This record gives sequence, structure tokens and C-alpha cells, in this order.
Amino acid sequence: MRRREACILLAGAGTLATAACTPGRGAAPAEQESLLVGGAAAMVPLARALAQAFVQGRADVAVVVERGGSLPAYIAASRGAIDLAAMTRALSDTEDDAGARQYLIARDDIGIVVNPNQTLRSLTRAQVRAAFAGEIANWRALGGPDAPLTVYAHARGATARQSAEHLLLGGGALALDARECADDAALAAAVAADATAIGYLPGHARAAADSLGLLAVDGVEATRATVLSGRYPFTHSFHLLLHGAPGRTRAEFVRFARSPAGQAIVERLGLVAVC
Amino acid sequence: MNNPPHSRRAEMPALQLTGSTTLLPRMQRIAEAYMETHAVRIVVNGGCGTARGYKALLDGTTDIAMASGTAPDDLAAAAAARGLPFRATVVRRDAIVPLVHASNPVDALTLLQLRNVFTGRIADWARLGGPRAPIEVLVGPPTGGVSTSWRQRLLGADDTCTPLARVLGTADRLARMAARPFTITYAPHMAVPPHLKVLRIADTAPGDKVFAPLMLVTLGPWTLPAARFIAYAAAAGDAGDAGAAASAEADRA
Repeated sequence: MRRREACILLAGAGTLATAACTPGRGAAPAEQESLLVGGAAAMVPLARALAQAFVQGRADVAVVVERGGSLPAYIAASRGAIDLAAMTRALSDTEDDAGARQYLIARDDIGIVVNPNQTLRSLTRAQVRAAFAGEIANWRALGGPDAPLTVYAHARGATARQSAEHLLLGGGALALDARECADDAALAAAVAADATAIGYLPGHARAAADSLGLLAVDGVEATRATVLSGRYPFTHSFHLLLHGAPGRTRAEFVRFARSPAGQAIVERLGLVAVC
Repeated sequence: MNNPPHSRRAEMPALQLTGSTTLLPRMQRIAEAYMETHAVRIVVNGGCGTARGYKALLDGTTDIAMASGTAPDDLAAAAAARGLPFRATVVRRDAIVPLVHASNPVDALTLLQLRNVFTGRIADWARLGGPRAPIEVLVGPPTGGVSTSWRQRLLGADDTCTPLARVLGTADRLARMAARPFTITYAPHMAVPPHLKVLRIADTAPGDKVFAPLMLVTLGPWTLPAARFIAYAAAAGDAGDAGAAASAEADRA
């Protein structure tokens, strides 16, 4: 992919600094348009994959994807500092102003996984929150067997961990003593090897870990149907936000993301196609 | 449910829905049931309220809006200006009922009394045959479909809600009332939890209740998948209430 190297710094809420670090290798054609996409870390792999396919065979467009966070990206997009915001949450009432158009382009979920020998099959949302916040020391407190409870999570700073804290804990912090795993595969292996384990795995990572027990939440199992309907409580929605005048190229990018070709990329990454 | 009839996405059209929080839990269940027997993906976006559902239609960010009331005037005008009026199908008419705490001794009020309570002209339960205690009025967001229907019916065009009323979403209103015995609010009948009591409206006939029309709305002509799903939802409108009410309580407004 040919693109100008650029980086957008989406520092904390309300403040925004944009710095283009240029030294261009292979000077871009004068008429080349550069599309800036900023957003939530969890959406960066999808946005990059879409961008790569979008610019295929087009010398006139470059797409730069940088991570920031849903809120800073919203602010940047609404001020015209970036072309598109990639957001992992729906807009609030005040954010959904006259200029905002937010498109759902993919879904995922966060499944609550346990050891295959775990007898418990279901938890409420409140129990999930308490367990991952470190407030539960024994499975008995959740209606399970009399056994210690061990929380498994990704390493601090990992995107998957942030998504879990956002969805499972409403932004709260995971248990301090959670065992840290390097990646999804390591987490799956650790939960499979520990009868006392509770962990989480995003839907796109569970195909490779189908021996694990998957708990229903509030009585709802994470299936394709309950993720599409949004009834599974830990459904993760991926959006693209256009703000202000549509603009030709950025509207084209949104159309591409929602097209069969774009949705095929969504599925290739293990996410759920929604368009 | 993991194995829909056709698993290849490309052959399966998708319909996205967004809007009314009142309609959300019902449509989620209807969507799941529909997908079991139809090669379509029904994608339900989190409830953002009736007005934003209409806006999403105008923006082209959804296929179908869920609405529990008519479109706000500015959005209806915007649709008309495009020559593409909103096309609404009522999938259910849900009674909107006045609610008080279960411990409140008042069982029934007239429409006029209710109107005076919500405008603030009557501010103490003692004037309604209850205990000496100020009435705390809770209302929904002004652009919400249920609130619009309630306001139109109860207050008409001339009156407004008391400025002392507290504005909260449905689930937040019902939760707040659990600990506050002197509150009054309104909600769709299907959402009433056990700690609350439905007030009888003394001077209305059973067929003359305040209704929120629960609607699926499109902009302009139907596509075939949308037409089929909307027809299915209208036919299924009266089924599966208990489960939908239970999850309505659990969800945020």
C-alpha cells in the first residue's frame, strides 16, 4: 500500500494535536487525496484491512489509519481534523447532532470462557462484573462449586483487555491479581488448563478455542443470532462516523466498508458482517 | 441458532434497525425468531430513542427505524422536502399507563387530575386522597415516542409539563421509583415492574386508553426484504410479551 507516512496524535478528550510526519518515500502524485481515519484501537485492524483493499489499484487515494479512542476520534471528526472516526460505541444523544452520520459496519462479542470441566453454565451481568473486578474469590459465590476463582486476562495495555474492561466492567478496572496472558491463544490455553479459571475471549478468537466452556450471560448465549440482534449483553459494535459534508472519497470509503467486498473483509477477520 | 439455513453471507441480505428503546427488546426477539427461518440478517442497533431512529433513516445509516411515536416536526419536514415521506407500519399498540409506587394508597385518577399533576398544578398527594407528601413527577426525554404520545394525549397543545419534573429514560425512571414512594410517571404497559402500581384512569373507557403506536418505519419505498420482515413483525407483534418485558427492565433506557 502506498501511503504517506503520517501520524495523528489523538491525545486525551477535548485536546487534539495533529502532526504529520512526512518524509515521503516515493513522492505522492500531486493530486493524491489522503484520507485520515482515527479511532478506537479495537477497530484499527479492521480499518487498516479495509483501507488496504480500498486503495488497491488507485493511485489517487491514500488512507492513513491511526489509533486514538472513540471520543477523541469523534471530536477530531466533528472538527474536520480527520475524515472518518472509527468508533466502538454508539453515539450519545448530544453527539448524534445534525452533522453526524454513524454507520454500523461490523459486530463482535466478548464471550465469558471457563474450563471445560466447569459445571456452571450461566452468569448474570452483575456476577460477570464482580468476578472480573476481583470481588469474588470462590465459585460458590456465583452458584458454582466450592473452588477458588482465578481470573485470566490479557496484559495491561492490550487492546483486548481494554475492550473487556469497557464492555464487561463498564470502564472499570480488571482484578489486580488477574493472571496475564500474552495473547488470545495463550489465554485460551491457560483457561483450558485451569479448572478454577474464568476468562474472556472475543468471538473472532473463539473459533480456535472451541473446547472451552462458554457461559450464557443473563440467560443469553453468544451466538451469531444474539450478536446480530444485540441481545447478547457483551456485543461489540464497530462503527464508522462521517461528520459534516459527505466529501466524495470518504463517503466512498464508507460505501466500500458496507459493500459485499468490505463485508467479506469483516468476515475474514472473524468478525460478524452486518451490511 | 448457530446454523441458519444459509450460512454464506453474500447470499443473505442484511437489514439494520435502530430507534425506540421501548421497541428494542421486542424487536431483538422477533429478529432472532425471523433469522431461524429466513435467510436474512436482521441487525438490531442499540436503542437510541425514537427521534434518533427517524434521523438515522434520513441520514441513510439504517434501513428501518423503530418508533414509539410520530416523527419530530423538523425531521418529518426534512423527509417531505425530499419527496420521500416516512412510511410507518404499526406493529403493536401498547397502552401507556400512569404508574405510582406500589405502597401509594391512590388507585385511580381522572384524566383532569393526571393533567394537573403532570403540569404541576396539583403538587401534593393530599389533594388526591393520598398522604400529605409532595408529588415527584418523572417524565421521559421530550423527543421519546412514548413521552410524545403521553404529552399529546394528556396535555394537548396548550399545556407543558411542570418544570420541576425530572427527565429520565424509562428504565431509569422505573428504577428510581423503587426507593421513592411519592413519585409518579408513565410507561408502556409491558414494562411495569412489581414494585410499581398501574393507576386506573377513572374516566376513560377500556378502548380509550393512551396508546403508543409501536412502529417500524422506512423512508420511501420498501425493499422486498424490508417488506417481508415488517409484515412478519406486525403479525408477531402480540407474541412473546413476558420475555420482552423482563429484558426491558434489565436494559438501560
